[in-house]
Amino acid sequence: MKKIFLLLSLLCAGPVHAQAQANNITSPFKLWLLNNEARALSSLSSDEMLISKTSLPFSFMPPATPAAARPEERLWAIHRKFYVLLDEVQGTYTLARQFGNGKFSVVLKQARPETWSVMPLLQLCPELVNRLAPELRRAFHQTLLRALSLDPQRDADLMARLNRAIKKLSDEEFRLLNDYFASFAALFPSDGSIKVLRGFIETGSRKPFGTGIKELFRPVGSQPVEAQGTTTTAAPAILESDDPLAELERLAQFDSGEISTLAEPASETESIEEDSDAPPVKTQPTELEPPPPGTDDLFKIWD
Amino acid sequence: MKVTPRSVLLLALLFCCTTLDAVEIRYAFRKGYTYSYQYIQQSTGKVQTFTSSPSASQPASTAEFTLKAIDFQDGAFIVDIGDKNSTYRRYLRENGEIKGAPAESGQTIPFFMPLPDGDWKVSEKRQIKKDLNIGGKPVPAAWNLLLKSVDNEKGLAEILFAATMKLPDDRLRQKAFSLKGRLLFNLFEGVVHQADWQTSYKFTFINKEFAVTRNLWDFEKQVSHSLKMTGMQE
Repeated sequence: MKKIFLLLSLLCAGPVHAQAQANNITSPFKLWLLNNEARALSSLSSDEMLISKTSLPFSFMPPATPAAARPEERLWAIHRKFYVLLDEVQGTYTLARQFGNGKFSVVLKQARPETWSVMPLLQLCPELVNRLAPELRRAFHQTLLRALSLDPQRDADLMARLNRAIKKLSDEEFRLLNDYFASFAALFPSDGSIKVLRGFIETGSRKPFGTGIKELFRPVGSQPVEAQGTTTTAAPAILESDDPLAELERLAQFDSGEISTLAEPASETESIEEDSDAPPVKTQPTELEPPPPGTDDLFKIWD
Repeated sequence: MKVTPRSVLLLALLFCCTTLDAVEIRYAFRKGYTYSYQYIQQSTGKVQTFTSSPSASQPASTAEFTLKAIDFQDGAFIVDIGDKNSTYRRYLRENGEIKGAPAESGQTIPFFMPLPDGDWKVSEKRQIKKDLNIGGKPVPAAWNLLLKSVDNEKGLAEILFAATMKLPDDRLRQKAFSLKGRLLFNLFEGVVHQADWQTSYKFTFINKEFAVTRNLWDFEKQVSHSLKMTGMQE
């Protein structure tokens, strides 16, 4: 029994780990910089200890001396800004990967879970249905956003979020970050993550991406009336033929000459690439399903 | 012929003068006396990384301290060194080496600059070597001293000093440390009258993966020290 449980755990953990690896574009660079910091700090500390043994020549001087200047602290402070930016980039990238194509919002709106919760009331108190359903729908939507750690103000425009993070660095600091990127890429040419990271920051700060996430923040009933029934508003990202994320990842795989960790799982990227070749209307349900013809929507959710 | 005795006398006087240029420099703290010193330190540093070079500096910081000579026992001065906040008792040999430091037990005592033994001639270089034992590994260090001049009227000897120490390094971590300074020693009182010195430290941190080498950071630090005796009272 234990063996079966262990096997099942491994089977479940594998795809989860692979998915986490696939979305992880900042960790290799971050670990490299952190590791270098640690080595430099270690050397600086041991040298300082040694130097303190000779920097005061006279034995009649007290051992306590004023602290000397520490320029490395300035550098570490800049690095801390980098880490904040990288975390923000990673968060933005993960959101774009998970929700940016709009599929999730389409599936969610098709499922309409709030309708099922009021189903028992159809026979007993049909007049309550119209009042309860919108409230349940709103509550479900808000709970879902909280569960997914999504903030409409922060995440509705991923390009703006990325730009806000980048603007926290000065021009000089951003140049330094780019120099670090270049060094890392030169030292580890087979690492595909740095190409995706650099490309994502460069492209994502200029070109909108992951626009499908906006649909996730819009409850079903809040859609503009004129937008309903069209094929583009529900999931605009799906129709985008030049998905910047997919392009970046293809570039990383091509340049590295091997399948990078980003391509390991059968993730959304592959499906996006496949979908981009086929007509999107046929393969993807980009339209919210209306009530069956000839019958009124019992809950009037679409109004 | 009359010139010869005079010449001999002159030569003898000259010889005496040259022998006066050789001095023995020793600490001679007077029992019961308190010596006051002012110590000033300021430092600057920067890190060069690609086109960026963050820097930092500490403005001149002044500290006053006193040295109270308590006694002279077994070839060592027993002194209390301190300021308003703390006092350290040390036993100092006449050449400046530490014989004991009861208030600093358990700590590695620094390699202080010892004064050379015996007569020291002007322009003569002396070197005192020692291996610093840090973390179980010996680190070779040395003090190099040069008696530059002796002013017999003022009773001051000018000494140039420098410290060398081989910091542990490798191909990816290249380091350099230097200390250079000048000391005026009061020969009449047997104490340091004034000293100025500067330490310089450079550390180059390199990354290497296979054939690719990248110079990441160049750390540079300079510290200027100035020490001056401000008073001596019984």
